[in-house]
Parts: sequence; C-alpha cells; structure tokens
Amino acid sequence: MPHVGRAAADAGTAEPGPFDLPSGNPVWRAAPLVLVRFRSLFAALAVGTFLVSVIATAYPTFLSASQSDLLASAIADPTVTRYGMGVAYGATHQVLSSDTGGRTIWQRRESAFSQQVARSEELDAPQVAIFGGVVSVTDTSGVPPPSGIVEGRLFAGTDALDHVRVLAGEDGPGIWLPDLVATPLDIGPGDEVVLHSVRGAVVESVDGVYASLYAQPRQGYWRHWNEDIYPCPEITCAAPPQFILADHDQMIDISERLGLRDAEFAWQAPAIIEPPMTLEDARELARFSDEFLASVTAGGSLYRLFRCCGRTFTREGQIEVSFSSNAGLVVREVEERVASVQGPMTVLLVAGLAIALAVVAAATVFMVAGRRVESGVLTVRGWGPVAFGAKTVLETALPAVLGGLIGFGVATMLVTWIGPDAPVDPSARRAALVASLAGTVAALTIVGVVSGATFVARHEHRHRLTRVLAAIPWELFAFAAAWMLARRLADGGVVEVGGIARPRPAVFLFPLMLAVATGIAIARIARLVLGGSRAMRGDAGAGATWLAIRRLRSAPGLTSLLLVAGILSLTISTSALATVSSLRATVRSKAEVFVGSQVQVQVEGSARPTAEFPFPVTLATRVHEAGTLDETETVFDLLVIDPATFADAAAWNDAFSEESLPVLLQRLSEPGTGSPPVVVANGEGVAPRTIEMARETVPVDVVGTAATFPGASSDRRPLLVMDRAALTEAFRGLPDPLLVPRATDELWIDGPPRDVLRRLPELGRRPLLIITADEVEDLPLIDAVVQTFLVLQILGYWAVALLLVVAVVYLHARQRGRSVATTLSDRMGMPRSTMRAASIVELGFLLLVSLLFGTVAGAIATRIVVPSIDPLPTIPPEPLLVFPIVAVVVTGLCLAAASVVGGLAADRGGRTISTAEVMRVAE
Amino acid sequence: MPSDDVAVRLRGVARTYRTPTGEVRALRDVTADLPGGVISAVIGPSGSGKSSLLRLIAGLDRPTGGSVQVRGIEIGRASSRVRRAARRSTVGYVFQRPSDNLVPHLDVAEHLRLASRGGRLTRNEMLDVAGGLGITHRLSHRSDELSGGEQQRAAVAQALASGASLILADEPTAELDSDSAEMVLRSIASLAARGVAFVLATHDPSVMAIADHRLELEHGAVVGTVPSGAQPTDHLDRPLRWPDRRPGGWWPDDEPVLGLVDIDKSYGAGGDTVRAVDGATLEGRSGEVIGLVGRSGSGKTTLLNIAAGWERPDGGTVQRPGGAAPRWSDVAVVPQHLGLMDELSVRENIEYPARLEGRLEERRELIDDLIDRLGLSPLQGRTPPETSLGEQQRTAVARAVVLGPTLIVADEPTAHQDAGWTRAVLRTLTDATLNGGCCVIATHDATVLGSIDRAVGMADGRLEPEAPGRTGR
Repeated sequence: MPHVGRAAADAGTAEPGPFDLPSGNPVWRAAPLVLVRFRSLFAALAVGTFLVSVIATAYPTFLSASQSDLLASAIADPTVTRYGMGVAYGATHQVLSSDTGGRTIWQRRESAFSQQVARSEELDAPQVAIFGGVVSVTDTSGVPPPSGIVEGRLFAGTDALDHVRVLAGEDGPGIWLPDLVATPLDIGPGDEVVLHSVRGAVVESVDGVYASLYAQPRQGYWRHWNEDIYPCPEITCAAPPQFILADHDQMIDISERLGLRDAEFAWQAPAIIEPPMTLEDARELARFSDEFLASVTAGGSLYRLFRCCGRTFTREGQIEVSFSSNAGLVVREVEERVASVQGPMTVLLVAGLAIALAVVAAATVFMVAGRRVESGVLTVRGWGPVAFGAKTVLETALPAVLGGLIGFGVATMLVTWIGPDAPVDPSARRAALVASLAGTVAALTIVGVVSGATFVARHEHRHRLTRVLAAIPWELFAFAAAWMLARRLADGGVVEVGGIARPRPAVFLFPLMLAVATGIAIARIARLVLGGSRAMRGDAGAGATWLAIRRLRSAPGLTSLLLVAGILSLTISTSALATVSSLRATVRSKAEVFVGSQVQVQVEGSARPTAEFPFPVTLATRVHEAGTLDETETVFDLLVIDPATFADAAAWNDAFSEESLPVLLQRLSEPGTGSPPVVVANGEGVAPRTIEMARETVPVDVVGTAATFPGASSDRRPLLVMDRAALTEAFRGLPDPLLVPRATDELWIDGPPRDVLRRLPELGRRPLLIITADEVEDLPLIDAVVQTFLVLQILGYWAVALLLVVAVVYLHARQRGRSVATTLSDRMGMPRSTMRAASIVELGFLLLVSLLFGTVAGAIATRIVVPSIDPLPTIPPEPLLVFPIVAVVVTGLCLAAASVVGGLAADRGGRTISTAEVMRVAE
Repeated sequence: MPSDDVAVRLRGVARTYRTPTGEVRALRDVTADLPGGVISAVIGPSGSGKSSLLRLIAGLDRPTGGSVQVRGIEIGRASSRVRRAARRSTVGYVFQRPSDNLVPHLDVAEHLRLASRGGRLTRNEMLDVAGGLGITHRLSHRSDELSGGEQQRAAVAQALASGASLILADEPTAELDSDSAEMVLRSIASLAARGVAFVLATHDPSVMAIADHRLELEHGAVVGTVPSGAQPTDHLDRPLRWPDRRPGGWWPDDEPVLGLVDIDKSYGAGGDTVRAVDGATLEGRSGEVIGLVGRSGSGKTTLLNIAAGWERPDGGTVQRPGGAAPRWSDVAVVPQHLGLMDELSVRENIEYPARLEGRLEERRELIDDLIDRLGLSPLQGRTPPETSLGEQQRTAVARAVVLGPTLIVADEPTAHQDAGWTRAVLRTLTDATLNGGCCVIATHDATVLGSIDRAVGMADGRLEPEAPGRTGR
C-alpha cells in the first residue's frame, strides 16, 4: 500500500489540474509509440532493420537472378546454345518419302515428338531440319569451273535463312548457295545451277547467296552440324561442303530426283526465351528431357517408334537415331559456377548482416545511454534486464517493422533495377520474404539482448567482470589465430570440393583476424598513450589539440571501440581492394602471357600479315619442346618473334624483366658475336651456350633474361626467345627447326577481342584456332574470389561510412550534453573556430589512425593472401602485388573531408541551447 | 537495539571506485546500524561518501568490502535478482538530482502510478500524496514543465507512493525553498510515524532537525559528531593570492557595478504569457554581495540571466561590466547546472578561463589557493564525474572567481554544501568582490543570508523591499 499524506497540506494549490489516472503500467502502455518522440533513435533503428532486411532479401533474390543470368549466358553460348539445349533427335538412312502414300516414319516421329514437346512449358515448338546428301554444283553448262569441282550439301531447316548472313538475293521458290559455291561458279541471285549426283542432275534457280558458315562465328542454330560445317583443326583440312539451303518439300523433291534417299532428320525443340528461364525451370527441363529419353529407350512407351539408342550429340559411329539434350549440362555448369561463388557470398551475407545488426546494436546502446534517466528510474523501481529488454523490443517494434518492410521493397526493386536482367524464381522470392521477416525478428532480438546487456552494464555493476574482460590480451589471441590462418594459407588458399575449386575460409578470415588483432592492439596502445598524457603538463593555452586529447581520453572505452571498428573496416576494405587489384593484374598478366596478347589466332604458314589491320599485330612462332640446352636433357620451348612489331602487339609487364622490352628486343635484333642472340625466360639460372634443335647444335648468345615472356607455356619450361631473321640465319643450310608438328604460327593481336574477332576476316588469313585472354581468365574460381573481395571492399567502405555516422551521431549527442559547458566556454573566450577544430581533430584522429593502421594491416594481409590463391599456378608470372596507393590516398582525403564535415556536425550539438538556458536547471 | 528494529545493518563496508585517474576510496570500514521506523540522517561534507552509502543500501551498487543488510537480507553480496526484488518490495530511492527521478515522457501522475507497487494507486491516494507535497496541479505535467523544486517534490512523491518500508533520499531538500522543504519534511515525518524508515543524506539543518538518528561521514569513514581532520574553516583566514589585487578596488565608487532598472521579462507558455520579471530594479555596488531570495518559480533565474547577459529584458535598462558582450573577467557565472567540462580535470576546469585569456601563469598561485581553500587538492586530477556534486559545485565556484571578475552571478552555489563548505564558498565569493567587484547570489539557504551584505526578496517576478544586511563579514 502506498503511504499517503494529507491533501489539506496542499495549501494554495489544492485544485488538481486535469489528469488521467493511468491504468496499468504507464511505461508499458507508452512503449509502442514512445520512440516517435525520439526521431533520431527511431530513424537509427529503422535504418538498422532496413539494412538487415535489405541484405536478407537481396541475397536469395540476387542469387536467383544471377543463376538465371548465368543460365541465359550458358544458353547463349554457341558451344551449348538454346537449340543444343533443346531436345534433338537425328535419324540417318531413312526413307525420305512414304512408299505407300501414307505418312512416313519421320512424319510419325515428328508428330510424336511434337506431342511430347507440347507437354513442356520450357520448350518452344519443334524445329525440323533435314541434313541431306552431298551434290556437285555447276552452272547450266554442266561443266565444273577451272578451279575444280564445287560441292555442296543439301539442307533444309526451319527458319534456316534467319541464321545465315545473306550476301545477295531474296527469298523465293529457288535455293540458296553459300559463297564458297557461288563465287567459283560466278553465280548470283536469279541464275540457275545444276545439281549433280551419281544418279542424276537437276536444274534449280538460285534465290540468293549467303556467307559460308565455316567462315562465320559459330551459332547455336547450327550446333548440331558443326562438324559438317567447320574444317578439322589440322592444317591440311579443307572446309567441308557447305549447305545448299532449300525448303523442306523442295529438298525432298530434289533428293528424290537426284536419287539421294539417305538423310538425317532432326527435330529440335529450343528452350523458351521469353519469359527467360530460371534455374528451377532449367532443372525442370532437364527432368523432362530425362523422362523423354526414358520413353524412347528400351522399355519406354515410345521406344518402338523411335528405337532410340543413347544420349549424345555426336554422330560418330553408325548410330542411326540419337537423342540429345544439353539441359543437364547447362544446369550443372550453372550450378558449378554458383557453387564456387555461393560460399563466399554466404560469407558476405554473414558480414553484411553482422554490420547491419551492429548498427542495430549500436543504435540500441545509444538509445539506452541517451535515456539514462529512464533506465535509472526503472532500476530503482526494481526492473531487471529481461523486463527492460522486452520493453525496448516493444518500443522498437514500430521502427523495426517499418524498416523491415521498406528494406524488403527496396531490395526487391534494387535487384530488379540494378541486378542481373534475369528472372527471380518464385521460391527465391518466398525465401526472401521469410529471410526479411527473420531479419526483422533477429534485429528485434538483438535490440532486446543488447538493451538488457547495456542495462546490466550500466546499473548492475559487474565491474569485476568488466575489468577481467578488459585485462585479457585479446589481441594476442587474435594475432595467434591470424598466424595459424597464415600458416594454412601457406599450404594454398584454394581447395577443391566436388571437383570445384573454392577459396578456403582462411582467405577471408585471415584479413579479418589480422584486422581485429591490430585494432585491439592499437586501441590498447592509444589508451595507454592518452592515459599517459595526463602526466604531461602541456602549455598554458587551450587549443584545439589540447581539448581534443582530453575529450579522447575522457572516454577511453569509446575511443577504443571506434579505433577497433575503424581499423577493422579499413583493413578489410584496403586488403580487399589490394587483393582484387593484385588478382586482376595477376590473372590478366597470366592470361596475356599464355595467349601472347589479347587475341591469339593460329594461322597456316609463317607469312607476315600484309593487309592493313586496325589493331597491332605481330607474328610469332611457338615450338613446344623445341630442343635441349647445352647438350643436356633440359628441354626448352622456342618463341620466334618479329622484333619490329612485337612491342606494339605483345602483352608486357615491366615486372617480367629487370630490363625493358625495347632493350631486350633491340638486343635480339642486333647482330652480335655471330651466334644468334636469345633471351631466356622462365629459367632462373639458365644461360645456355648452345642449343640443339632439329638434330643440329648451334651456339647462342644470351642477351637478356626475363622471369617470364609473352607466349610462355603452362609447363614452366625455359623459353628461348629469338628473332626470326636471326634464327633463319643461324640455320641457313640446315633443316628448318620450325617445320615440326609442335610448331604453331600465331598472330598476336592487341585489341578488344570482340572488335578483333569481328574484323578478323580483313587479315585474309584462315584462322585455325582463336584464343582470347578473356577466355583464359574466365575461371569460376577467379570470378568467385574477385567478386568476393570486391563486395568485401564495398562492405569495408560501407562499414567505415556507418562507423562515421555512428561516431558523428554519438559525438553530436555528447556535445549536446556539453551544451551548457560550451556556452560557458564561449563566454570565457574560447573561439568557436577552436571548438569546431577540436571536434574535427577528435574525429580526424580516430579516422586517420584507423586509416594508417588499417592500411598497414591490409597491405600485410594482401601480401600473405594473394600468393596463396594463385589462380593459374602453372602459368607464369608469379602473383603480382598491386597496392592501390591512389585509392588509399583518395580514401585518406575522403576521411579527412569526413572528419571536417563530421566534426562540424558534431560541434553543432553543443550549440543547441539558447544562452537563456544556461542558468536553468532542467536537463 | 534488537535486530528486528534495525532497518539497515552496515559492517565494515568499503567501496572503492576505479577511475581513469586512479582509485577513489568512497567508503572505508563503515559500521553502523540504522534503525527502522525512524528518520536517519547521513551527514558529512560533500565527497564524504553519503551518496555512495545510499546506493549500496539501495542495492544499486555493490560494496568492495564488508556487509550491507537491509531488513535482514544481505543485499551487498546478494544476486541481482534478490536486489531487484528488494527494490521492488522494500526500498524506495530518490536520486540527488531531481530530474534524474523523472522519465521525460511520463507525467507526474504516471510516475506515481509507476512507483506504486503493482500500479494499485487509487485516484484519492494519488491526490493525497500529491496534495501533501503541493504538486496536485502538476499531476498532468511532464518533467520539463516543472521547476527544480517541483521536480524534487515529484521525486519524493514517488518514494512516498511506493509503499516501501525503507526510503532512501539523497539531499531531498537541496533544491527546495523553505516552504517546499517544510512540506516534504512534514510528509516524511508523517510516514516515519507510521513505521517507515528513512535514510536521508543531507546538509540541510532542517532535515537534521527532524532526524532521530545521525550517521556522520568524512572521507568515507564514520566519525564522531565533531568532524576531525582538515576543515574548510582552517583555510579561510589564509588570503588568496590575487595577482592583480588593488587595495580599495578599481571600480569607480560613484558607479554601480550592476544596474538593473525597471526590468520586465515575459514568456509565452502554452498560449499564456508568464510575467517572469516585473519591474525589477536592483543595483549592485563594488565590493557588495547581494542575496536574491525567493521560492522556485519566482523569477530569480530569469533575473540572474538578464544580469549575466544571457537574456535580453523586454523592458528596462541594464548596466553591467563588459556591456552587451561581457567577457568572463567582466561577468562570471555559477549556474545551478554547473556546466563543468567533463573531459577536463578539476584543476583544468578551474584553469580553463585563465588559459583562454592567456593568463594562466599569472594565476597559478591563485588557482593553487582556490583549490586548497575549497578542499579540491586531493581530487584536482580527477574529472568532474569522478567527484561528488558538492565538489563539482565548488569547482564551478573556483572557475567563476579565477579571473577576478567584476560581477559574479551565482545560482544556488551552496545547495550541495554542508555548513563548513558553505562558509568556504561564500568566503571565496566575498573575497572575489574585494577586488572591486560585486556578487549576486540566488539562494534559499538561510546560512547564506547570514553572510551577505544584503538580501533582496523576489516573489512572482517582483523584487521585494530589501532585507536588512547581515553581516558577519
């Protein structure tokens, strides 16, 4: 029972004002809306939950969109194609027309195939193709041209003309000739040609001429017949007979008239393009194709009709009927790519959530600290941490739910607008919604736990525990953990799981642990130094630095916390930035060394390109295992170059050699002692006096060395580089050492691969093989690591930005608490500029110390991590360390600017009261 | 005394705080029994450990040594759960700063409901508690709408409404005028008569007068009724070494240092206009110490603001040193809020004005004297949060006088001092005026009135006829 006094004592003021007798506990009753009164706290908690929700939502939807995007890329890949992914069926040695006038077997099969395809939502209507026999072609004179017999193969395919490059003509009732046929016959649209077989000849009008497929980039439509279009890789191979295009009925008619009764039929059901498929759709398609395969193989319902055989895309052997689908292949490829990035992405998800939840936790600490009177009153009333935490959760529910909802919406929009332009699977959307809800609940849980813990820390005086925790040298444990992780990295930072190369967790954990250790150590040292500064008498003034030092040391806990957080954030961002730069430089360098330049085109013959070409080109001849050194068993590779054009076209990095490329090239082309000058690459300590090639021993003069050289193989054998003219001179009268099967003549071209490939025909050389540096560096592992560190870098900067905001808000609030002292300081003569400068120095000290030690720790982490994740260890050079000095300087300038802006913002907190409030007592 | 009559049993209680500047031994070997059903006063100079002792008894803090029993429960070493249960059922507590007792978003009625165990307070019971303390008309008001005195009464009201059998209050009358203090003490006495035990930390003689039992602390230890050791009075005769002391002062005798003529000042509050100062005229001459006396809400602080130059009057003229933009050496203030810089040590806070004026070296001896006189020597390296409220107040006084200002404006500069330190503070302020300056002190402390040149009453914004001077000066 309350102790009541006597109302009569309230003399003069006995009339009660209007008041409501509150029912129940007023604290609980006010809790749901109380934060509306504290707008900054409301905003901070809403932002924290917003971030949690954004990350939780974005992860599954972005992953799904990325999968769909990868899927679309895989389908568009000419080596797979959406057609190749479709269900195809080929039959050879079939009777083209029905003997009885009824439906032919292929017509019945087409009908059955169409019915099956109609059951799948992932497949478009089937496209029919007939791959006919080879015919010779002449003009109407019937005489082959002087250059020899011209052959072509009859072909009919749904929409085939849409998949060739038309050179001349319009669609009509006639046939279409490839230029490989039309040009030697000098035939054009409107002319007539004679098609010959051993059993007869027919005259057909020509509707048009198209560019022969063998000289065109590969397309998915033609994937099934690639081996009948493109020549074999051997130099002696000529282009196969190119396709003479006719429509279906016309082709059957021509075949009948020429007595060609064999043909291969193919029904391809392309995968749908609109709407784009998701990975789940692709999996469904793969299941469908498996079912179809089962139905057409022995024991299946359609076996008697199809009498199918197996599952292959090739037509090798005497397989009469084949079934094929690349759906499973594509699904596996996408899954492999996703699997290689999913681990790191999970790490990023956890890191992102940790940062977002840290914001929530910081806002909660700030909320409890900023409402110390309330927590003090509740302590006196006997409240405990559980009740206090529950009250805080109730208070936070409104901003948390708002932040969660907005976060879900914003993440969905962000993924739609700036994410991969690909669909998101409905199951991923459901997962995102659940994750967003779970994130909001997690944020509220953090609020409850942190507020309860803060309540205990502030009011239940666990000083002994705090002292013990503070006395433990956590940095030593962190350094020890970092050392153990570094030892693990020494064994390699990449591990294969299920045949897929993945970075070890140590790759990400090592920089993290090093950052934590450095942060704690520096914070402890800063605390000692600032504490020690109490003993220093200092000068008689009260400048900005004097004041800033005192502010820093008056809140040693906060100073330590901000330093640890700052160093952690900046170490992560710096090491991520440096790792990405180093990895990119390393991979690019390795790819270009392997390729020789951006594009490598293997050609027939070592004639120099004479045609004008818009990109620098050089001719190089590589001979693998060209000979031995100094009559020993040491095998070397030979690279023969043209020094005049090499420097412009070949890839070079100054890290390859202590001497510049022009110097090396000049020495290679200068006549010296009479022996051909050579540069030795990839062979530390190798300095041959003679070499043996083509069973001949010739002396050589080593004029330079290099760690590696463009064109170095992945076998890491010594590479001898020679001038073509010098080699020719050295082997004058001897067997040409370049006329061996292991020699390849290559054009190295420095230019954007896409543009180079588009203009390649202008070189006038038939390409045997094309390799680009982009293809070489396109490895899932590299992509995974680079993407991971890129996002880590962004996360690091994000953390710095958040840290800055938290620091400024905290300092602003602290200055608010000093508003009376600040106003009095003004009266005492403290210049406002000095007060502002003190805030700037205070914040600047924290940020710049963080930058300094974060950069050092980041550099050390990069130095240890990068060599451990050498993505192409068999290809030189060794991993390159590229430290982003410019980026660090820019970061420093940004932080300096942030210190000024943040310091000014924080200083405004001390100017929030009017001078009239100085003497008043209310807080 | 039988054990069941003992509300609080203290045995060898010690409390040492570890601070960034070192250890602070707030309590050492305190052994005492505080009886139940009576009013116990814990007295002693500021910084003697009174507040620390009350916090230990309330279970808000843990002793570093010894035993604290409340109603037979060993609360010093009890778990947090037990201590919370004790605060819910047995112990009521009133913080030293009135505003620390009031949740900003709750009104007084809600506070009383919150304080009552289980929220069972009826309307009549609430009116009785509020009426006994003269705050019935403030039941629907939040803390920022209350004066300091009203806040203090609202804080005490919560403890009374709590139904606790042991109520601890830290200087419950420090912010109150005599009428308000009387209401509070009457309520306390009424409850004590019904068996509620009170432990009141105080410097207020009126509180000591109603106390049935006294526990006197000094330097954290229990002492006899006559304080031992260095007392402020020991140093009062030692002159302060003013570097620019000029015999006879330097302000012209024919000019008042402070001239307030027919001052009006009104505020808009909730659509109403409150006339805070109404035609006030006050003159302060060189070497004069003036006391401004009145209830809370009478307009004292507004008048001090106008005198200090923090506020402009609506009407009337103001003459003060330094004109419209006075410097600290012209007009220095001791606000009730103190406004010390928490990041600076006690010494640095005192030095601060001299540093900013570039006169630190010439003031070093004076600063040493001020620190010595005001009993701040042992704690001059500590920051203000590491000292008691009374010590902080003395630091603010030293900071105000360090440049020998021409006018000193001080709001309740002795509110948290015992009689000895009150004399030291007043002597310091008086000494500062010997340089030719003037000092205006707003106070309700009768001890102060006995040590000033003249007292001026204030009620409802109007100055009352001047009271006769003291003076023991």
